[in-house]
Amino acid sequence: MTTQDRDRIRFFTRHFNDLQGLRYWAPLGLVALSGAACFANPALAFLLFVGAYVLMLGARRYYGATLGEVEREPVAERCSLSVYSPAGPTPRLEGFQQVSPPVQQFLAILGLAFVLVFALQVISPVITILESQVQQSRVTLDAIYEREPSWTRGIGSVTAGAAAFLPPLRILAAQTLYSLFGSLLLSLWLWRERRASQGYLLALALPLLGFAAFGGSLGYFIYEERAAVVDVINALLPTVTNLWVALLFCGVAMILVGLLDHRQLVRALGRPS
Amino acid sequence: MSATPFEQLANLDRRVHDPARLAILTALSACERADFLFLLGITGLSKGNLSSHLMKLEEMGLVEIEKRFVGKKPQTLARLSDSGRETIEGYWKEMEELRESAASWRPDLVPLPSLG
Repeated sequence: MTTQDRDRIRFFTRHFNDLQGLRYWAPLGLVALSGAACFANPALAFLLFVGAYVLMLGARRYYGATLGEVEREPVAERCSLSVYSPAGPTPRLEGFQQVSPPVQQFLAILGLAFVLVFALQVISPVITILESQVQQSRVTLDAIYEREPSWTRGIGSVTAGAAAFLPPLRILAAQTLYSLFGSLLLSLWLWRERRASQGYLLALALPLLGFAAFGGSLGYFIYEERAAVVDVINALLPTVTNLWVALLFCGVAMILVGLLDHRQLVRALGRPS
Repeated sequence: MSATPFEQLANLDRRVHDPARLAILTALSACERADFLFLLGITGLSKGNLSSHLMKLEEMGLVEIEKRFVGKKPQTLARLSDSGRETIEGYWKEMEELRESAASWRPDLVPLPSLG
């Protein structure tokens, strides 16, 4: 037995449960897609949600019956989760004091992503995006953005003209969603020992985090009024301003992760007779 | 004088040196416990082979076996005993040392035995 064999056996034993993609990640992706479908077809959204639940239950039975069961090693050291409390010296959440290292890692990455995105949001130049123009497939930069007076803060201030302004909360929600799913995938990649075989997690996490950062710093880009930049921004604008597009992208990413994890697990453990 | 790689190799724990047992113990060392079906997949052994190796490992006191019913289906769970965990960790440590000493070993540094 080589050290590669040893590492392979250890890796698949240690991550047997979180590699059950059809049980966790694919249903999570379906729930995100169900959220996206809410904007267009509530019946489809309901079907996707029910499908996610059925898949989760079915996959649990499938993995137990075909690949077996592994009980994780107990976490040797749980980490304290410090939370700022304005009420005084109570720096821990009640009932949520101890978290396992992967959860702590996820929360740390998520916190950093949120801070980065909201900091970009605050410091980047203020812009207005008109709703009617966002929905067009091809628009020019001058039509989309109008520079705000310096005293106005935040995206989506009301501007002159007939078009409705884009609600700032919706843009923030899209960025929050990208940050959440991007952080989840990035922390999953770190938790899985940054192995090359898990590179798809990183490959999917980076664009999602990139969209979050891009959405937060749109104001900077409008000052770069070059043709190439304009084209890129015009192409990406619906992605960072529509909540349903964010849900669609995150959902598809999670379903991909689920399928690739499942494929890996089945390949490693074979198909028992 | 430190042992040569050959001496280290000869001193390896033969109870776990067998590839099948090594695979079983390595898998069990990465979890709290695992069931028979999982061990079957991860080691690639046949049912009979895995069963006999588990029995031998249990006799040696390296593994603890638990049998139970989940609904109407029997389930066999295996876990490393404390001595099993020490043994497999010690084995991999020895292997690392062996690899390092083999990499730095030079035949011309070995003193020749005197003939008379």
